[in-house]
Amino acid sequence: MSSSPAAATPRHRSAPGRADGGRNRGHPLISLAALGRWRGEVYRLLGRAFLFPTPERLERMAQAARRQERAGDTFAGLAIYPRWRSLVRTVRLAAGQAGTLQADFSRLFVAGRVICAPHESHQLALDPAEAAALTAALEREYADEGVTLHPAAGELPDHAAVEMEFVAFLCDRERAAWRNGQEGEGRRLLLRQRQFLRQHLGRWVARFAREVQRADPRGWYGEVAGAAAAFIHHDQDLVDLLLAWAVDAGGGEAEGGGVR
Amino acid sequence: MNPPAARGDAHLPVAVLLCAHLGETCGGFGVRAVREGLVTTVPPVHVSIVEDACRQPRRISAALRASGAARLVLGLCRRGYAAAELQAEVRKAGLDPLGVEVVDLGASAVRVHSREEATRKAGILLAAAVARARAFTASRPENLKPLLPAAVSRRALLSLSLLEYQAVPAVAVEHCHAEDGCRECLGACPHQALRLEDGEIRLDKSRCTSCGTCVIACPREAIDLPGWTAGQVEAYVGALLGARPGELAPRAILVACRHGAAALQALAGTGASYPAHWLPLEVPSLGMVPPVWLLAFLNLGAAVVGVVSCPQACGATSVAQIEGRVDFCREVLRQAGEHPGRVALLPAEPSALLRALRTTPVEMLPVPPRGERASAPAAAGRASAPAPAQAAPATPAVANSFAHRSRARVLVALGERLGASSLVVDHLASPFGLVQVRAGCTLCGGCAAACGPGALRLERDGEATLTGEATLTFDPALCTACGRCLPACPEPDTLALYRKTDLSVLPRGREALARAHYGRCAACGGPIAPQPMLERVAALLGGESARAVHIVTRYCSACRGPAH
Repeated sequence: MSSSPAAATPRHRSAPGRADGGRNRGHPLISLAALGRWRGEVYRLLGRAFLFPTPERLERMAQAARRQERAGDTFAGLAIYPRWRSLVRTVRLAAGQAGTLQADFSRLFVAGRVICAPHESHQLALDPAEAAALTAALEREYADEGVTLHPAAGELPDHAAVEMEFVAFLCDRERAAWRNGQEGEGRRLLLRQRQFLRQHLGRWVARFAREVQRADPRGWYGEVAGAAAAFIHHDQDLVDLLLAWAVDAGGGEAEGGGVR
Repeated sequence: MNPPAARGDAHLPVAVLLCAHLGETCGGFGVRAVREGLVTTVPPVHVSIVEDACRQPRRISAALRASGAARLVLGLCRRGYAAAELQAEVRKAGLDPLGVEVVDLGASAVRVHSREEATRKAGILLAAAVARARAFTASRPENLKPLLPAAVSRRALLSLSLLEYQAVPAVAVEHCHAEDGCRECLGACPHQALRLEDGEIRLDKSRCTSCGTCVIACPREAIDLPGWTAGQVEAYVGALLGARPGELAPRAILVACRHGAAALQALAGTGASYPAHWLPLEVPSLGMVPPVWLLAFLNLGAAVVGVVSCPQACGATSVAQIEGRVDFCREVLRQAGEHPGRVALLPAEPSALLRALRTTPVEMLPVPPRGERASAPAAAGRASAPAPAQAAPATPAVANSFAHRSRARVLVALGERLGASSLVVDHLASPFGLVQVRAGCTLCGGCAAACGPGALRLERDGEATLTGEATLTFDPALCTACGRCLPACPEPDTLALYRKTDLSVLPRGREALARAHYGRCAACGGPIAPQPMLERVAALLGGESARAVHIVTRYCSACRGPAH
């Protein structure tokens, strides 16, 4: 009928009969293992962006960004694609700018007029007792998956880098599960990610990003924090969808909550 | 979800890609004339024909890249197209898929009109789509809902196919007043898809149907739905109704939800023809169309506004509610001495709809140019016998006509235009309310705290000065008649709310409903509370203890203690 935005109104599902609903002409399917690997790499990159920017760390991040860029258009089917492209370019270009970034890091996260603490307890305005309970709960969650925070890490369990590293770890294990044909384990790890994202990162990173963007609207940290919030929001939807998909296919483990 | 640099701009280059099949469908249309029209009226545009565009999004992508355009408008011959693949291709080209406009020229032009009419109408619809595409700013991840493919195989379980994303509303936390107690959107959502969490309004995308009801309900304009921002609607409708000599005058707006649009498609499928001056506006749901929008269309130059009723009550807005909104508009027109048929509810059943489209006399119902009218009563006689005339020129009566903040100005402008600036419409579907305060108000501020739209406000500016006053103010232009103030008032029969639209009151702005001096502390001189509240407290405590009354009404909370 009249003009309508390409995606503004619900449409009927595509015609059944093909795995992809007949929509993947010429586009390769992305394996869940590859998707898990990619998501893990992005979480790791984002998390490390909120650690002190030593020249070595920035160089390692730039290398990781270059590796990710090799994926090219593989993930263009995901709405986060433009933001991800922008993120990896931003991170790659940060190598060699340690001095500027260190000054910004100190101003934003350590000793500025307004400190945008990258900690869940700070962003959710928890009192000391609640913060301690959160720390204990996070440590338990990490331990349940067989990992602990290394004492040399020098960060609290609710730091953005630690929480994102944990999701990256879950993504890595999920990838291994899909590759080894352990579909039940793959679904369990997706469920675990959904739970962690809902209870932790999904609750506070958007708020943190708004703070950083207010304090550093055109700077590197403003852009990376915005990308982190966007990626986490998108990833929550994606994990929901993957779980619903797995249940549709007969997995049956995931309880409701899938998008659609 | 492009980077924030992508901003709406009236001069952005736009690629208009037309499916080559359009030329072969039914009578087809004059592609050359449409191209020349667009290049002249809405430059800069790059118009090209794409072979099999509906089925081959990669061809669209190639043409888009070649054009170097910042926005994309597609004129397709049918409604179904490979949406997921198109979105991916558009993303690769560096554009935001939610900013792409798709015009089904098959159903709205070439299948239902003669070649000449289809050419004119296609030009108008594409120009409107170009305007809306330019008004698009950017989407956020919160605006996107990924959809599951219909069928899943074992192979698909271990792989991800391209995802199709649907636009959903998103709350801009920085504009939202949830922290101040506003819950308008929660109450408006017919699917209970919104919830309050950690002090912020969050959307459960699995429940959301993108009906847009929350977008319209938000008095702070904090909720956006890409494609349906106030700016995009204004740009689209403005272009639909924009005067161009020799082209389909007068014009009528045909508002249809997705179910109503299906009825129009059904008409196209039968090859039935109806007058080309009906310009369709497909909305996510009729629940998203407040009565002020219908009147704004008239303000912008529409001769008639038709609303295709929705038998499925999309957006959980019942037929009765839609009838109420249409009836409110008709009452406004009637009282203004204008023909009420200028806003009409049309049936959704295809054959009845076709009859209505063919018989509604658009040419007979013109808006007289401003200044030509005599008084409203004199004009009332014309209501039953409207005289043929030219269509009203589109006048930019009110900027941002479709924004919540402009509701009152739209009505006032219409009233002025119709020469009826003092009409009062007492109607259940009135989008405005009037609050009155009777004796007994203690200025406690309970009503103001409950008022989500911010129409009621307790001004405490006078607290610091000895002669200062507490003032309860009311802005009728902001009142939505939601009624939340009534149960918030602790005093019986003190607050009254009337669901009516009074054009003489709307432009006045904020006025005082009640005011009183503060009672001052006998010890420190600071404010205790407004005097009527202290008197009320004294009355309530009268039977208890004279000393308690003395302490509470003479001393502020900081100075109350054993010494007094």
